[in-house]
Amino acid sequence: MKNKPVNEMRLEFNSKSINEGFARYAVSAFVAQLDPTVEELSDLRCAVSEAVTNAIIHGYRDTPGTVYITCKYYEDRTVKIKVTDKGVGIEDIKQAMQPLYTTDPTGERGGMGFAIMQSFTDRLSVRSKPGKGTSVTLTKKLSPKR
Amino acid sequence: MQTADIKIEYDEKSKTLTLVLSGELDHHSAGRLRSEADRELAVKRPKHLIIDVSSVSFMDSSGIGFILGRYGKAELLGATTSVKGPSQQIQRLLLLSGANKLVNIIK
Repeated sequence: MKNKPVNEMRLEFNSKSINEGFARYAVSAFVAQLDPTVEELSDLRCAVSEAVTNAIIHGYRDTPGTVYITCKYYEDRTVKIKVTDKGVGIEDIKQAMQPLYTTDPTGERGGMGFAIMQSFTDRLSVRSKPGKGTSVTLTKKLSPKR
Repeated sequence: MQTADIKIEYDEKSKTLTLVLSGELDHHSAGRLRSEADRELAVKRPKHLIIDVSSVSFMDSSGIGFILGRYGKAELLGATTSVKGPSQQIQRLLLLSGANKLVNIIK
């Protein structure tokens, strides 16, 4: 049962692709407080990378904007990471989440972002309003402390 | 944090072009490395393409996209594509994307 988070952080940064690595590192450093396994940390880094990249290339379509990350964890070692943008939003979330569905201009990302986020976390929730923005919440419960 | 880098190796005898990648292969770095990789493919026109990821410390779907994009270019040249030395994490991504059905995976 999740009550108040034990710890929480918030991050805001320009929607530039160069910040994708920074976002991964910042979240990793925060989650590291829980002493996750190598695989758990790796999974979360990848999921966060997908969410942040989506915010940058889809949410803001490479125009200037701000990406917001909130990260919290609870007593039971559940981690919740929310990545938000105030960009174009998603018209049809169901369609966007279909495996291999992509609107990527380079055609080289393959439409795997959501599939990866789902595969590497316990729960993925997406909220969006066209013209307003999108928020993606990743939830993962870490294994007991070793 | 390591920025991604690419080193080109070409073996004339076997006509094998090896792209040795290192660092973190994400959307930011894949964009940068893509053009250099494609230029080498176009110029060398190899029979075999090897994408060496043994020194890649992080990859997400952009990395898979990079691999599949180069595979596509290699296919047009009639060249085989192999991914060399993928970590556990990268192997998972190759499996999840189905890329493991298209490229050879070598240790």
